[in-house]
Amino acid sequence: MTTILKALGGGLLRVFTSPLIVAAAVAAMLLVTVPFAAVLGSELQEALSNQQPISRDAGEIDPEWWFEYLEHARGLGATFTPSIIGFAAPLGNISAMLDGVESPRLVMLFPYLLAMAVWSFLWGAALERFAHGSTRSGFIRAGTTTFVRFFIISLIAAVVLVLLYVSIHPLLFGILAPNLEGSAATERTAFMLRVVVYLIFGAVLMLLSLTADYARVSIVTGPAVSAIDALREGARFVRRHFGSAVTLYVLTGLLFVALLVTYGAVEIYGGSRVMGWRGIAIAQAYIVARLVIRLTFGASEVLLYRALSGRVN
Amino acid sequence: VSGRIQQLRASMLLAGVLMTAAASQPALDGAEAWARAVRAASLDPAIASRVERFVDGVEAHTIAHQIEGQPSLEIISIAAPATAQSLAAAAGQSADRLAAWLGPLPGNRVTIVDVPAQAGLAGAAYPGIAITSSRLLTTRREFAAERALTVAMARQYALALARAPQTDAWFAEGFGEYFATRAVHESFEGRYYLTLRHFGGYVPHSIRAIAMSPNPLDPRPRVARLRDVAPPAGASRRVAPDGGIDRAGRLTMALHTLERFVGWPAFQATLRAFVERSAGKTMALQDFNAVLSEQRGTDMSWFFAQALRTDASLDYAVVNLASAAAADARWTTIVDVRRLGEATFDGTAVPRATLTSRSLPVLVRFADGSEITEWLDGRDREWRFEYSSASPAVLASVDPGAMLLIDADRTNNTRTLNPQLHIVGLRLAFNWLAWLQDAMLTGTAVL
Repeated sequence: MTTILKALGGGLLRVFTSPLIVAAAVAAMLLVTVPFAAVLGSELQEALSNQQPISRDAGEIDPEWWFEYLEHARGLGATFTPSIIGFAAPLGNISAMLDGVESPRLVMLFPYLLAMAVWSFLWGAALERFAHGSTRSGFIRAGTTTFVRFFIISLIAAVVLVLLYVSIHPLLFGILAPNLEGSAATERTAFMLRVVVYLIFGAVLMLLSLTADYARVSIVTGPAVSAIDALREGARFVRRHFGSAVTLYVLTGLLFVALLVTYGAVEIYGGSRVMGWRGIAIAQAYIVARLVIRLTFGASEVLLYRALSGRVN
Repeated sequence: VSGRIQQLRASMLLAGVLMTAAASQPALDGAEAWARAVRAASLDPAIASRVERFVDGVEAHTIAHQIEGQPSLEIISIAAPATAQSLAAAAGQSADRLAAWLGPLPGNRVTIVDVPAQAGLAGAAYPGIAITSSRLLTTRREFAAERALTVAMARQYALALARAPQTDAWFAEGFGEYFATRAVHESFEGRYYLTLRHFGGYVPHSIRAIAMSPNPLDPRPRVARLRDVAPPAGASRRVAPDGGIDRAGRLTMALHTLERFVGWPAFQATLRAFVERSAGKTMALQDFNAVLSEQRGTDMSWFFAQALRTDASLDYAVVNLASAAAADARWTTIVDVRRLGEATFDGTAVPRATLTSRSLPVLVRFADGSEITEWLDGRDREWRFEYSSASPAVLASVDPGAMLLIDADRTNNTRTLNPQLHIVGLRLAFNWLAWLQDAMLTGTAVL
């Protein structure tokens, strides 16, 4: 347990002492999302201008307009649902991922691929820094050296993820969960049973994530050369050090849960004081914190891998 | 507004008094009360059995609810002690509101049942039975159980229209959805915020920025199709479970349109007269049309003939707005309006060849604030308006008051020139930016 806690603490420390990596992640996320937002923003301005001129000076959001807009929206506009507002965004995204109810629309395929590419680069630079400090190679060089291999790892993981969604997910959430919930006498029991099903699916996702994570770590720390070798090494490490790898993952995941709880509490108890522009600033602060936690996953896994496999290069 | 608040307070006080009276009455067995309700409603055994297992061992209470000038309404509440009182109060308030609009609740007796949400019956209504679900997790702005109960109470009036077997049950379904939507908006005005449910529907989150039932003085239309009002296709709780969903939906929108066309006070009088005349009879569209035409003093069959067409859409659009500087320091403006669908908003039952109607307004606004309103005969296909003015046009809109909710696409009803920046739109775009960042991080979290 000491090794795991050391890895987590050390990982957090390395992220906090690498402000340039965090800044690069924030900038990269803005860089890939702002063009999409500009397109959607322009569509929204046009749609709002072309509203029927009935009390159009009212400042608040008109749900009737929103639903009418959504009914005719195509492309990115179709993703402009009320769940984009504030805390509803992370809640809706995680829920959609677990429930699989809102299968990624075709229009989201490109942003997802873009995110995979950006993170393939960012992970290269970040893991190099977390593993070797800033002395071995520069940010750009570190990112480009491992980019192709990291992108292949992400692509293979994406294929496995799709397979999980067309095989295990329908069994769990299309057959098992409805039957379990239907047999429950109270909503509390039904909810608990659904949580159990979430845990089962979540565990499968975690195994996939751990394998991909340690595959990347094994490339940066040395032993693996190709992406396939790295995935084999990642799977081998997770199998051999299952308890430690899972515990570290869960502990780091708890940081994310704490972040979500904080965000939710701020929005629920902040009331009208955290709406409007303040709400947008809070949402961006949440994204920065989420990026810090994501980087902590990588940093702590580098330290755990080193500690348990005895590799120092 | 203060009158409304006083009315609400009075209702709550009355409900409180009645609850106190009810508390002193001996409790009934829930299963027995349910069996009695099932017999009275001649409810399908398959549906009855879905509720049966949840009412076993639950207490039932009978409450006599007094509505001024009307016979006493008997409310039998089958619910856990923690929720029984609030649900009975909500049922009483719904009954008051609906009775004021439409007359006494059919049958003068309603059994309200609180079942767990996974039964999938919240909002279901059968003759004399209203079903709701108190949620395990809820928010202060959701009112899930109370809204479902309001929906089920409002649908009692529609059930009375369709009690005898009939082929056009879609008609009652359409009325049910209209009554329920209106009742929800009125009952939860200013209190009900959009609440999304996540994680299989168990975790709610209310969005404070989106008030679903705004003040009725706001001239903008209210959301006409609430998700929890229209049951899914094939649901046993639909009045017309076997079909007619499209037509029912169209009728609901047509009724909302009529409300905006004739105004609520006149439309409410029509609805009340129709419900009163329907007592003991099976009603159909022609019966409602007869009452409406009588109340309006003109044949209204033209409206339903077009509004309920399933083979054509009704869609008016401003297809062109251009304003150019002319030689004499004035501006020349051209506005083109077109009917894109085959359905029409006639405005009269008299044939086009005999009479030109003024069924739809077109508003043109200029930069100096001046406005011109033209009237169209909705049966024509295209219209062009040309103006010479001191300032350029900034906006043209067909049906500017958003009366025609049956218009298939209201996003093309208006065109603007050189529009101002909308701060709300900017804020929403920034919200979407954060959503996209989060979606990218979540979507690639395990990759």
